[in-house]
Amino acid sequence: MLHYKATGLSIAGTPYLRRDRFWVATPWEGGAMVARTTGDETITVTSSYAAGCSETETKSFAWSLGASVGLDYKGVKAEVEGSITKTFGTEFTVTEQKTQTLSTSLQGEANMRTCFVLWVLVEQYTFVDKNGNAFTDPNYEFDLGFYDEGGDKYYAFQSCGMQYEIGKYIFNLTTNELVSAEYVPLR
Amino acid sequence: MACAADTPVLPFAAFSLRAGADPINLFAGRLRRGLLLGLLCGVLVLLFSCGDDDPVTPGGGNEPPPANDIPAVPTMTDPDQDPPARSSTLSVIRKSEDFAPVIAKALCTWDITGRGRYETLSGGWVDCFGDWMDVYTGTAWSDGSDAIPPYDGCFAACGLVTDYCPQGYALTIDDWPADTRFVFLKDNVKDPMPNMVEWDGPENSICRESIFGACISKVH
Repeated sequence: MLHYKATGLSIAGTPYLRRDRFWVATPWEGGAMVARTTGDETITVTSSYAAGCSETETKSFAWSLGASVGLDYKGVKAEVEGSITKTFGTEFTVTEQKTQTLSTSLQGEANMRTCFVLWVLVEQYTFVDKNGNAFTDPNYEFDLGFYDEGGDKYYAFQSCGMQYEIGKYIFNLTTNELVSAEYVPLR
Repeated sequence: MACAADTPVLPFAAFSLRAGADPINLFAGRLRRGLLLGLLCGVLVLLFSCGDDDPVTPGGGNEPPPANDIPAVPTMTDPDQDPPARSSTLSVIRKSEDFAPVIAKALCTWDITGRGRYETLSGGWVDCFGDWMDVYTGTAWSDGSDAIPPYDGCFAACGLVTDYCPQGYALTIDDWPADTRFVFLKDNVKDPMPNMVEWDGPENSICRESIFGACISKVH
């Protein structure tokens, strides 16, 4: 493969980097989003989900940040980590994306209906203008990035599974009223 | 960075100091103390709010959530329904000061069909639009991710000023066959370069003034 790089006009505006953090409900094995009990029985649940950063996205994002195209993946990771850490003031680590498998036992509450939901934290980074709109420039065309079907929008880089928690929601058996919500941090 | 000099707090603080300048009026004295306290609080707020890089929110507000905030885990309200697949989004925007000027792929275009004859390693000459040398006319992204020209072909760098070469264009070429020879064009006139098979990577960027295009040929 032949690579060439031609640099030209500077971009006219100032790019901002936006970070969106949100929780995504992740299905349990079998596809159900919620594991339910109607008493104090103990159930075992399993789930598999993607955690980490896509290598393709990491390289593309690093290139957009201005990192050298000649960097190997290790150098690319360092560029991304350094830029995000500096921009947002929080430590950020690029981890290779892989499938995480979670298996755990959960106990319901006596005489209650208990629902368990697995929540995975996702971070998305997008280049925007100062008003939060997609960054554009008269001299350049920009990649839309990667499409997030759930959010129906594009992003430049995504990291998944830095944290995940199990939500334990306890409902009254007859009225279905939410009695309490607890969150079990797993990581 | 938005800081004390351009916030709306300071004009009010200056006015409050003037209002407290009358030593006889007790009310004014209390007012002065109150306003001085308010001023102190304002300064403290400014000190804590000015330490970062001009963050803004997508809605145009100027009080974004702290960078470390992670949204609360969503709750459920109906035990028979699934929870929302994803929680509401927390957005934080920070100015990306340290980013290089080029954050996008520049769309390069070239069209050098029939513009000259170029020397090959074998010593012969071929037309850029000749029989065995493909001529490329089209577009490619500046990182070479799409529409990579063939080894036998012509292409051109685009752009006017480059970070690498203020006087001209920068062209970075790597991973080519060892028998590749590069011939660069300057104003449609052939401008042979020495054999560059040892050049590799961005640090060895070819930097030539007024490079218009390039043709690449292999020994056949």
